[in-house]
Amino acid sequence: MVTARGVTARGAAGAGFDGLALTPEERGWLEGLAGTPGLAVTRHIGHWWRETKLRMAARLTLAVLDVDARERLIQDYLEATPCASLFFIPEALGFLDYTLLSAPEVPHVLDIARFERALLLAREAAPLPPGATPPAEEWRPEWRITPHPSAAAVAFAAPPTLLLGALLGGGRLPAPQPEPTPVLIAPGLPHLWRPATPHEAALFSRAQQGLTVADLHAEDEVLSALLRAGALLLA
Amino acid sequence: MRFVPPPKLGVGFTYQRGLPQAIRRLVNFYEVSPDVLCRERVIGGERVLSYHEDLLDEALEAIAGRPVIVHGLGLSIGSAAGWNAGYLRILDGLHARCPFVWHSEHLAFLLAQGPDGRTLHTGVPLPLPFTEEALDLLAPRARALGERYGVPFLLENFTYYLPGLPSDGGRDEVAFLNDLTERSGCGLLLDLYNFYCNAVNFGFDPVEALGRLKLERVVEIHLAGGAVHDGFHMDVHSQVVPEPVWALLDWVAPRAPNLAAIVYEVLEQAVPLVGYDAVGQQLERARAVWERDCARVEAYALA
Repeated sequence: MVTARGVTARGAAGAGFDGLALTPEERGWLEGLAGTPGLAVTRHIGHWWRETKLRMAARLTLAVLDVDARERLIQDYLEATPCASLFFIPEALGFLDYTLLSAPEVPHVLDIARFERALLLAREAAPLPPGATPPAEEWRPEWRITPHPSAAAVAFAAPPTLLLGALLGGGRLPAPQPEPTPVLIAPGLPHLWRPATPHEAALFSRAQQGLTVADLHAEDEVLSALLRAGALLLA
Repeated sequence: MRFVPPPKLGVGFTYQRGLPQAIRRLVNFYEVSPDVLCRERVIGGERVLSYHEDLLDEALEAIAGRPVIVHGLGLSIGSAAGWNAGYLRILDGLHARCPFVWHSEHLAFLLAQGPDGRTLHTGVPLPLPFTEEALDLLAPRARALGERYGVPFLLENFTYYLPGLPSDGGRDEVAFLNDLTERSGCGLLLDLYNFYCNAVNFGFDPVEALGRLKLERVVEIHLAGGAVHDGFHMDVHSQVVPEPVWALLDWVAPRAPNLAAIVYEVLEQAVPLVGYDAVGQQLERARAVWERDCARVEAYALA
């Protein structure tokens, strides 16, 4: 199928159709497409639709950037990253990963990108099953404590309510502060996030390294809070 | 598979969340795109589609009591390496909870297999060549989709922008559609805006072309409006229906004896720009055509 083979060749090599079982007519047609207005408008539609999706699904991160930086980052992403899905969330996740890798030197942008990425994953997570958080008296020392695959702890360089309020309201962003503020994102939380205590952030981080109930040091209440939030799981 | 005309439904609209009563009272049925009720994850290289259960429940409640037809976006029926099986799984799920009168898809492809076996996504539906090879690929798939649910399967003509699509046997788009419906037994979802876009973009006479189309296979008509970019009319469902498309509907409706539904399509994101008043006007105008032409065809067929 000539068009499908053409897509395959572009995705694989970026140029040329060597190695494909094409008739001379098919090869000639594909090579003749380069530079045609029809190919340009086809590419434009694909870019426009991808851009629309990520503008809707990655609003917070885009709001951190000024207009020039925002447009440059979007266009760089679209050029560098092939389409992976028709859906909004995978497109936004791809853009946020690209943002984190490209690390623009703009205050707050990486924190917000991590936060927004975690929010999208938490929103897509399955609801917590009833009885997923056993009471402390039932915990057994050998049980492993693991992070929920759709939970995260990120650090903001400014109080989260001030930062998110400014982003959503279009106000001036607060200046970064020396002490970071931890934020918890988890599928069991109302609105999927809340500020975290330093103890919660520390325990979540330790759980990412591997932890059992026996390793806890008078942290039952902290663990209970993280289990209720759906941030940690016991197994 | 033999083509069996489905029951006549009337005028419908795409299911969207929060449709006001003023619009709901203007439609006989809803057209549902299961994809918009789903999420997609890529797990181990495989696409996994699953319903947002809350969105599905909300949709089923909103459309209860009216006939439902399905218009898919993600099947990729024309992919050389095979269609998107994940889409069929969600369609199975919808059918189990809400049997539909017919289902349809775009005559295009979205997925292609890379040399390393990974699936590549085109990002925008791409056209198929008008060739025997494409017919050989599509006809059995369309036939199987008709048999899968025991209701008609329709393919929608599609707006494309790539020039000089390969063809053999002198086929153009119309001849290809005729051959495909004949060989597969499927019906045709005639998107008149898409047809109009292709006519303008590639400079053919739409009425002459429609005159060669096997109109007895037209089960459903889509109406829409779009935008112009770099001189190309684009299918983006962002506007009211342009007058030349209404004129094509006036021409086709009395000549399509099995026409069972007319749907006005507008993107959910474009509804605030178009406005519900204008949406209602489009539906009322479509109904006037339906009552004028399709009732007459029905009476003629029964006589």
